[in-house]
Amino acid sequence: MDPITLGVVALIGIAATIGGASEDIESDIGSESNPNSQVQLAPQMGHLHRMVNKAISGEPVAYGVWCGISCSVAYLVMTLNAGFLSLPIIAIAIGATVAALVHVIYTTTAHIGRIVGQAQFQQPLFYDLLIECLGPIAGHGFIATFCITSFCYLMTIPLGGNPLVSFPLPVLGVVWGITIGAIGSSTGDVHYGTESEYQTYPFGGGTPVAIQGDIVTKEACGAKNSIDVGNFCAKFGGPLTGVCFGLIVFFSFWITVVFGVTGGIIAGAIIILILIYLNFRLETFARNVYGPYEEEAEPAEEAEIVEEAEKAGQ
Amino acid sequence: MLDPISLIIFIAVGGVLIGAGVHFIPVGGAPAAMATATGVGTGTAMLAAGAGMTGLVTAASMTGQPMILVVLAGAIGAMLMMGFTMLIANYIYVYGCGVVPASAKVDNDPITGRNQEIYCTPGTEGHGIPTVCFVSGIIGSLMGGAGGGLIYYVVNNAATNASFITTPIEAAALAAIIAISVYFINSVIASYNIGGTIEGFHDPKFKKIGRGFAACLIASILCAILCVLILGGI
Amino acid sequence: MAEENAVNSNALLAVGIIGGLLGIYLVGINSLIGPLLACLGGICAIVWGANAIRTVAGYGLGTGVPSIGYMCLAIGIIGGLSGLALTLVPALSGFVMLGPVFALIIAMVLGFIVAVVVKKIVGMKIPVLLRCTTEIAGAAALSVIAFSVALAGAYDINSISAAVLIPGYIVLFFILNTMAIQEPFNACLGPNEDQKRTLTLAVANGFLAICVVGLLLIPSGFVSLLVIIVGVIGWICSYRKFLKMSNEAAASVKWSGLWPKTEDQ
Repeated sequence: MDPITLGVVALIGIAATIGGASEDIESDIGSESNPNSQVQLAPQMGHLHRMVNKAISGEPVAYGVWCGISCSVAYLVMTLNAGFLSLPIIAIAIGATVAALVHVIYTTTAHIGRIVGQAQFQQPLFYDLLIECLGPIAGHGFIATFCITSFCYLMTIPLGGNPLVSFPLPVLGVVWGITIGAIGSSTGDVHYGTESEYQTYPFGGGTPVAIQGDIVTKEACGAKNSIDVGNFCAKFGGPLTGVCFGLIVFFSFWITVVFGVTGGIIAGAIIILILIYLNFRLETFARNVYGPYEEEAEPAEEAEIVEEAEKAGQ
Repeated sequence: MLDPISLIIFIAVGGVLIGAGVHFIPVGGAPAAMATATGVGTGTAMLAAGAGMTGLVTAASMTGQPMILVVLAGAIGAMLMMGFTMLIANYIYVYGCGVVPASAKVDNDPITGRNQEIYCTPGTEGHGIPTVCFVSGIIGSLMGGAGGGLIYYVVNNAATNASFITTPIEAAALAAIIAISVYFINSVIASYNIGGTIEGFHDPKFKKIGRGFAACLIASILCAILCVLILGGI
Repeated sequence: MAEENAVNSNALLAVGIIGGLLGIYLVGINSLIGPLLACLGGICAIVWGANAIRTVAGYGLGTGVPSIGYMCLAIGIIGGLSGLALTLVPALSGFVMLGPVFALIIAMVLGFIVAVVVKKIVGMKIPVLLRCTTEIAGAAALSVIAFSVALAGAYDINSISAAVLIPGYIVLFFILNTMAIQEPFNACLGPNEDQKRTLTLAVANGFLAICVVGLLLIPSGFVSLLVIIVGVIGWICSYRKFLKMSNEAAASVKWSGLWPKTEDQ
């Protein structure tokens, strides 16, 4: 174990954390992946909305493409030896810009295509909404792609003699892009799907099938739009996704850098056992503190709540 | 240097490990993202692919080591990815959405023995990732990561002898694309077999693993034969 | 699911196969025009694949449109690479020219067998699964080989390996072509989906993909600029057509304000 490799592994972890958080917030603003099924369902249930409906593909494939393009272009620019443009950081920025352009184009076609595909439910095609969200989507996507391309690049350069992974840069880009897509889709999107979309329903408990499609379409000032979703999810789901991805990337390499080849595998196994135990503790906490699912409030109690709300409104 | 028959056997074993592993991974699909179903809230093949890709990278970081270390490294990488993803997803379920992890397919958790039914929200098919699903996911990613690592190792070794491969990095890239392709083919066949969502080895749908095993075996043997062709073994 | 399509599926199959193979074979004609023709051949294959995905996904796959996309891309790459490598076998070394045809045939055969396995063993009951999986696998193989050949300048496996394996671009083509082939139908999904609009989007995606390939061609010189210019112009034309068709088919097009009131609100 040498300190430079360890320092670079830590830097990789940080880049992954920021990139992961940005990826999740971007996918929440764009309503990509699974919670989008509710945005898709809402017009059928009579709830027309002003939200982006970015159904490009699953997040893994999408981020595989953006990160793959970014890493390929960055690799190309670096091997061109074009003066200051071939400095790694400039080349990575150029790659991330090209990827952001492609990203934005696919966003527009997916949104327009899906809204028009549901024309019979009278959902209007709002162009102002699409255009106002393109900036945040491109920006967050750029940050995510830049961070992922950066740490992929760090994995390919020889540090203490050998690079961490002996893959060409584009291969690493696609591989880690698919991984961040899978992670963002599994973790942060739950915060969007269960909480942000169903904010009017009480906290605690899952979403029964009967209310699916009954998403919140109005916000504090007028219609709810996708930037409100970004604001909401940036407070919890986004950072946690970043932490998750950062931990995964960091520990994947930390165990072998610190403990060596065989020691690393044993260390990895111990970490996994700790994770199983942490999940068990979390489940115990939830069961004890939340308790079994309770009946709804009595009608008398409900009338009191409504009365107090009316008094507060005056 | 492996002979063609061993190559075919190893790639087929790797493919079948991947396909069988997908049956263990707890996936709830789109409903799980709204806490309407138990499991991770994403698609089966996608989550398996994500875990497999992490396993591929950790296996590749061990290039040059003996086969057992490369395979184990792949397994550890995939298990780390799946473990952290499921744990953080559970944090979001518990603290962000206020749900208790509970399964709807069994009355009591087979591992902890705890009652599940009273903690399920009525109108849903469970939510979160209870302990049995978590352990099932770890087992699934172990198999998937090991399979991917195995395929990467044998193809990388054999590729150094292929006539059109000139550099080690070219061999690594070829091994990567073949491992990725076999991975995706098997995980999609397996996801078709389970119909998109499954809670783990305690789910009644798990009994279909026999069919998934057979389907993945045939597909993997075919892919293995074609890989041998690519690598110049014939 | 409409029974009659505006554009015949068999015609698109012919366009895909003939266009793709022509583009691949004509790559050596001229170092300036050759890669451009190969890229255009790749676009033909992408449109063929997008139509095939549309046909099979219309029946409801249960797992979503992208899954059959990347499964067939994976089949296409393994089949394609093995078909090209077949010409290295001593008995067939005189048939280097047939490499791309072998690639197409092996990819389609592998796709067919995997579809048979999925139908008989796994038990998916979709009528067009066999034909469509075979088609998508063939389209995948042709599109990836076409883009690789554009970078390599020749269609023998040694050149292709040097051009796309050493830099690792083949993995990029795997995922980029998955996106280009499955996104048109996935994006236009809904009760009012229309084949012409979907295929226009597929053409636009194809031109966008060759813009990326054009960037990767920069080390080859001026041809890169040619491919990028053709890609941008082609993309602008097909994207504008897609926008026009979408605006006509939308329930309403608005630039401000709320949605119209329905009975519930």
